[in-house]
Amino acid sequence: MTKTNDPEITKLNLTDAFKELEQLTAEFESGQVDLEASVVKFKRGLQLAKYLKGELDKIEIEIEQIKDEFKDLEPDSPQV
Amino acid sequence: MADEHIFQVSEFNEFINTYLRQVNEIVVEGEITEVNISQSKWLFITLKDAQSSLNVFAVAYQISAWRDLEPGMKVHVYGTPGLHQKSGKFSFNANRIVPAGEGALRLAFEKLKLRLESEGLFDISRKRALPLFPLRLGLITAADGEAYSDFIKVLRARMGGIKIFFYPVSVQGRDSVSSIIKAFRYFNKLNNIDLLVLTRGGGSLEDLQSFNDEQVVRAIFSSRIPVVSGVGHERDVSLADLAADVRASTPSNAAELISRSRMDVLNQVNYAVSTMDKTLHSLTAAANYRIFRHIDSLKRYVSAPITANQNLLARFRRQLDRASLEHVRLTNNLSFTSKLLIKNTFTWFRNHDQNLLHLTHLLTILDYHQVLRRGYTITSDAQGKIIRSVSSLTLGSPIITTLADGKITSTLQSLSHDQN
Repeated sequence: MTKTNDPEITKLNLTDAFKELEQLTAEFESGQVDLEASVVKFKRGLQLAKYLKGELDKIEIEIEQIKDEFKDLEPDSPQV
Repeated sequence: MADEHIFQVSEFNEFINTYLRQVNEIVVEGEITEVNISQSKWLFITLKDAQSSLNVFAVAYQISAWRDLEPGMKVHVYGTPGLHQKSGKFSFNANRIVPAGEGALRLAFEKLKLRLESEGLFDISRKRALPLFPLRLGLITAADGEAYSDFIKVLRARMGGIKIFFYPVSVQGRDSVSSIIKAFRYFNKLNNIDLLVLTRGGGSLEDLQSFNDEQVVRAIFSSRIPVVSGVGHERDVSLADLAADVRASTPSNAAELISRSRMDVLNQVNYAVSTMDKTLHSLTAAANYRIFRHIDSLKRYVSAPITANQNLLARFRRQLDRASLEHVRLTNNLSFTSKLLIKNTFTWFRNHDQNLLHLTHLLTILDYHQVLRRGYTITSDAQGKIIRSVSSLTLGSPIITTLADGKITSTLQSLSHDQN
């Protein structure tokens, strides 16, 4: 595994990271990658996998109840 | 009776209404006998029970699914009593009319379902895909309900890192529909919610009525954010379920459908890594093999002329060896021959030298001058021809006598022949 995660990868949301990893896997499965490109892609794949595994380790779920006084407000952003 | 107050008609109507307004919203149950709509706006309904009847007035757009109201249907009318100021007719002003009783509810459900279906509210083609990993979701359900705890429990077991914005609503009763609609309105004003979940536990058709309410169904349908509904038990299908993007059978099932299992994702991630790893390995192996083959053919290409040269060199060396042997042999021969030649030459010289000496001696011996010196002479004719016989001579002819130290010319005067 790579030592450090690319900061650009940690900005990805899980869906995008997972989709990109799936796409890379499909490319590898198809055998349509050349050696030089595949080394770069492999490195990217490992970074994505590491990032995803790190995210999967998160276990807590945060719950925020929307308070009655906010219910009738028309928020521009979630001030909940 | 002089003090008796005489009411004007309008005054009287107003007076009565003052009293009637003090009555808060009440619910009246009855069977519809007649439904009329005026100017597409005003609803006039006649309700009755075994003994009495009641005129009900309503503003059409305030009554959800008013189109599905029909004679014979048992309903609950929520409203307040009042007198029509102008006509003085008493009516019950409805805020809400809902089917009452299983049969009526079922009938209303089927009618509304058909109508909304024909409008396309349940079209499969309009269903949106859920995000793979919803991280911020809006939960619309009752506080402290079983649905809430089931949903959270299952979600927590499957995936973490999710933020839930919980909007508590009434899932049944008079405020239920409006609170659910407010929740949808609220979340749809936010711009970072990935998914909405509308859920409640099981119940009778009457309990689930809010989830079959036309306004709620439309709120789901028009939600900008994808909606997952999980209403009731497995066998219950509400209109909310049909309008939602994804229908879950129960609150727990809703949690299962929206969150991928941590283990599944982990497996897929591991599979991805191993697939890439294997492919890369086989690519490397193939590349190695190709390089090896190239080196091999390069070697052969380079070594072919070297081998040819080596062969040539070996052949040359053999020839050289052979030549040098020949040379030695020839040299040996030559030396032998030379020696022989020299030897022979010497012998030859020696022999000839001796011969020469002998011949010299012989010549010396044979030299006619020596003979002449011993007293012999040579007679020749005038031409110098040696006279060997007297018979060739004629008298009187000159003869020349050669002696050792000179010549004598004489004229022949006599001749005689020897007898022998």
